[in-house]
This record gives sequence, C-alpha cells and structure tokens, in this order.
Amino acid sequence: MTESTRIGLVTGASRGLGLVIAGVLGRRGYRLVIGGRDRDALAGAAAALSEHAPAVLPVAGDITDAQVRANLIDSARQLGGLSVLVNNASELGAIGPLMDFDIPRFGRLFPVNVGAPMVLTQLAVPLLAESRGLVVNITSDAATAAYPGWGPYGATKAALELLTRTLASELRGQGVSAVLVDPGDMRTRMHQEAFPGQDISDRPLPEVTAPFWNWLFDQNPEAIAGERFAAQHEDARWLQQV
Amino acid sequence: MAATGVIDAFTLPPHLEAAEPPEARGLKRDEVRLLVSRIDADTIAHSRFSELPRWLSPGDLLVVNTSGTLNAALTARMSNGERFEVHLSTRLPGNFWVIEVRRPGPVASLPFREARAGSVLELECGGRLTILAPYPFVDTLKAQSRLWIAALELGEPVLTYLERFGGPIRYGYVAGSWPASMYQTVFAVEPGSAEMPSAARPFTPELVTRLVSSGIQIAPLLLHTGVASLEDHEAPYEEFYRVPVETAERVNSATRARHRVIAVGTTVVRALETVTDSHGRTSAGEGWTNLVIGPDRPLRAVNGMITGFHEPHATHLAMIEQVIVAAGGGRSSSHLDRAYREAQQGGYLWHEFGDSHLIIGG
Repeated sequence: MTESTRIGLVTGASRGLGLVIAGVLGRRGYRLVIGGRDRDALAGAAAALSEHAPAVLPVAGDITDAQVRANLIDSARQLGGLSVLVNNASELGAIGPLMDFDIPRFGRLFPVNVGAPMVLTQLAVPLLAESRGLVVNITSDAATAAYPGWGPYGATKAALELLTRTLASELRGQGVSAVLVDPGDMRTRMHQEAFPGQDISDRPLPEVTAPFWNWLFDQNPEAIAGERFAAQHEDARWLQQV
Repeated sequence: MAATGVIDAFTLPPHLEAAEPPEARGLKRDEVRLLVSRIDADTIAHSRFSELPRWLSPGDLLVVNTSGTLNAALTARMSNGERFEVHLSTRLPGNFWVIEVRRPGPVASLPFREARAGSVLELECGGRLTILAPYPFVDTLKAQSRLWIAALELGEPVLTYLERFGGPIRYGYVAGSWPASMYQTVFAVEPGSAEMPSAARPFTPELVTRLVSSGIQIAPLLLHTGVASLEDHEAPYEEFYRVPVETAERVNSATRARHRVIAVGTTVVRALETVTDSHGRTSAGEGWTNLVIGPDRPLRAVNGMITGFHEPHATHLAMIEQVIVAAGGGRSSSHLDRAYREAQQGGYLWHEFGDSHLIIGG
C-alpha cells in the first residue's frame, strides 16, 4: 500500500492530541476515520482536517458502544483498509486520593481506557495485517509512576501498557505492530480537567508533539513494535525504556 | 418537509459563491471538494471529487447527462438602438425558442422584464429575433413575463452561429469571462443546454477510467436544460429529454440487484423519473417533461445523487430532500439541514464552478 492510499483511524479526534495526530496523518495524505463523542466538535474537526486529508469520515459516538466501534472499522473498510490505528480516546475519571475513590467508577474507566482500545484492535487487526499496519496506544507517565491522586487513571494506563506490549509480541507474526506513546503533559481540555481551576498555561500545546508523530509515521512499524515512546523527549530520539 | 429549515434559514455569504472555475484557483476539475452524505449511517464526510470511486461500490450505476452547453448568450439591439443581451433557453420545433431578454449590467447582464410581444431584436451579422408571446403563456397586461417565445432568423445553422457570435451564459457571481470549454462537461456530446449541467463538471477522463476499473457503471441520457428559472420561484417549465433503451435497462437491472442508482445532477433526476412508472420500472423515452420532484412526487428510480450546492429557496432543494428520503429507504430526516450547515461552516463553494455533494444510502 503506498502512502497515497493509506488510511488512519484516530479515536478522540475532536480536539486536543487526537486532532493533532489526525492532522499529521492528513497532511501526509492519509484518508481518515475519526471518532469522538461530541458530534458538533467532531464535525468541525472533520471539516478542518479535510483541508489536507483526501477523505475524512467522522463517526460520532461513545467508544464503549459496540455499534460505534463497528462503524469505525466499517468506515475504514469503506475508505479502502487501515494502516494506522491510534487509540487516543480515554477518560481521567476522578483525580483524588484512593481512599476517597468510588471503586465502582472503575466500571466506566476500564472499559473506556482499556476495553475499547483492545476491542478496536481486535476488529482492526485483519485490515491492519493487509497493510503491515501499526497500532498506537496512548499512555501516560501515570502508568509507571505512583502519583498521588492519579491511581485509577494510572492503573488503566498500566494495564493498557502491559496489554500493548503483549499484543506486540503476539502480533509480530501477523505483520501487525503495536507501540505505546506517552505524549507528556499538554495544555488540553483533559489535562485541565485533572487540574480544575489551576492555570496550566505553562504546559505546551499538543501541537508540540507533531514532530514526533511525523517521525513515528516515517518508521518501519516492524522495527519499532513493542516500544514505548515519549513524544516530548526528542533528545533521546523519543525512545523510552521501561 | 425538513428542507424548509434550510430553505428559510440560510443566506449565502458572498465568499461561498464560486466566482471562477476551479482551474483558476489552481485545482484540477476533480480536485474540488466533495461533501459525502451517507444517509444510512447519517454521517457527513469530507473528501475530494477525485476520491469518488472510494465512496461507491461495484455495480453502482451513475447516470449522466450528455447534453452540451450552448453559447446561448447573444448581444442584441432594439430598433431604437438600445442594447440588450438575449439568453436562448430552450429550442422548440421550427426555429422557435424560449428566450430571456436581459439588459447589460456592470458585471453580468441583469433581468429585464419590460419586453413586449411584437418587438424585434437585431442580432449580429443580420440575425433577427421576433418576440411572439410570453412563456409560459400569461396575460402580459396583468403580469410581467421573464421568458418569451421568439422566432429566430439567422441565415445559417444555429450552432454555427452561436459558435461565432454567442458566449456562455453567466451570472453576476462569476466575475470574469471564461472560455466556452470551461462550461462543457466531459460527457457532453449533443449541444442543447442553455446552462451547463454542472454536476458532471468535476468528472475527468482519468476519473471515469478509475470508476470503470472499480466496477462502477456509467449510463447516458439527455436532457437539454434551460435557463435557471428553477432558482427564481417560478414553476419549472418543460425541457426536452431522451432516455435510451440501454440506459433504462441498466437502471432496471441495478434496481433489481439493489445497487445504487445515482443521478449526476438534477437534470438526470428529472429525466429518469419522467420515464419511471409507479412500480419503479424505467422505460426508454423521448419528449418534453414538466415533472417536478417534491413531497407530492417522491422518487421511483433514483436513490443517490451527485450535485452542487444550491441556493436557498431553490426548487432543487425539494428534489434533493426527496433523494435523501430515497437514500434513507423512505425515511425523511433533518440530514439536509445539517449537511448544508456543515458545508457553509466548512467553506464549501456554491454554484456551477463550486464544490460537490454526494448523497448515498447503504
């Protein structure tokens, strides 16, 4: 598959990091399927992305809804296949001490942050295998460090990291690669939700990660399978050992 | 009717009017934008016209209008020396034409509603046009008429004369004067339309080849379209059409196989629906049609469409609303409102040199 017929699927692409990743793919000539819950915001993102991408197909809905996930994959098939799946959509849950955490809220957090990306990957692998494609799962430094208050969110990302690295070894024989990307702190709506009322203007905009994404999509997926990257650590060529 | 919201609600801002051909904006014909309305999934996607094969499936049938655009605008002069522009709209048998008389304007010509039966207009090189009667027939003492039946005397075949002295009809939103080739589609084989059947303008030979290679069928018909009275609150008048038997058969077999039947332009919808009976069976036919598609006359053959973006109040919006109903398996929806809102917010361009809209079901 040449780059001119490549297709990328990005979840959580209405705004923030997801929109930046979709924008990088669009400028590289990828046809795009984008997911998001906010239909109007997603429509606006689709119109903006279409300035560069040859085709942009927005699929509005909650990523935990099986029908929405099926629509996302069907849409990629409609555009001709799939070469990159970016599982970007996730939720913070409540930031706060574990002693105050309402444990049943795991019942929402794990399906969004772990279940949905895994199911989407399962659905996408047959298409990805045809194009020797790449799965990118977005993680966080909260997956590896015990930050007070970030336990539940960090736990979902830790689970996602382990599953992604397991997937990477299991899928190697099928020509599908999987990597982890920690985008770092950014001035996004999600990050603001983690610090309500605080000024986060010292954090860079998510656009700061664009050079990393361009570099990543230049790589041969099979050469980077199983790696974990930090999108704001250019000095170390983005590679971060775990 | 859900289209009422659109028809009443939007005013077209000038920057969304395509004022020049895409070629003048540095684009190839098929690089104009394509808004894709998937009615079954109720999604609106953004694409480019060159991507059309990806949005269709093998077996889908595109029906195109092979009518070519006439150089239908002529300069004329009354016996008192006053200058006018005449638009030839529809050719009637016996050198009679439906015409519109217009007066010169600062950018393009403007409507002129004071023409009178019996007036004689002198054309270049000894040509003469005698205005005979208002069209459609009204009592001109009580009402003004925009269109007239006129007798045309040229002393040479009309196509030759128009090639020498005529120019394409253009309206005020198109600033420059562009060559006649800008107003022809790749499918044009039989000149006869006053205005370009513009939905097919973005097709290129290369794109047609890719469509055919993807298993998408293309079938021709003919409808000579008149001047854009449909945009002006007037009842649509009669237009000449011809649907070949091979095209009728391919429409029927596509319908039987549950493939899409996609009309490229409002003219194709009008012609195909004219020859499709209430059981949904399409026949060959030739003649004059005054069919108007709307809530009282839903679609029988067509269930998808490629078209441009239409002005508020246009009768065409009522037709497109029916395409959306047909593409949605008979359900009406608010899709058109949303699509037009997104097209405006996304900066899509209107009119014959603008962007395109693909409407399809599952």
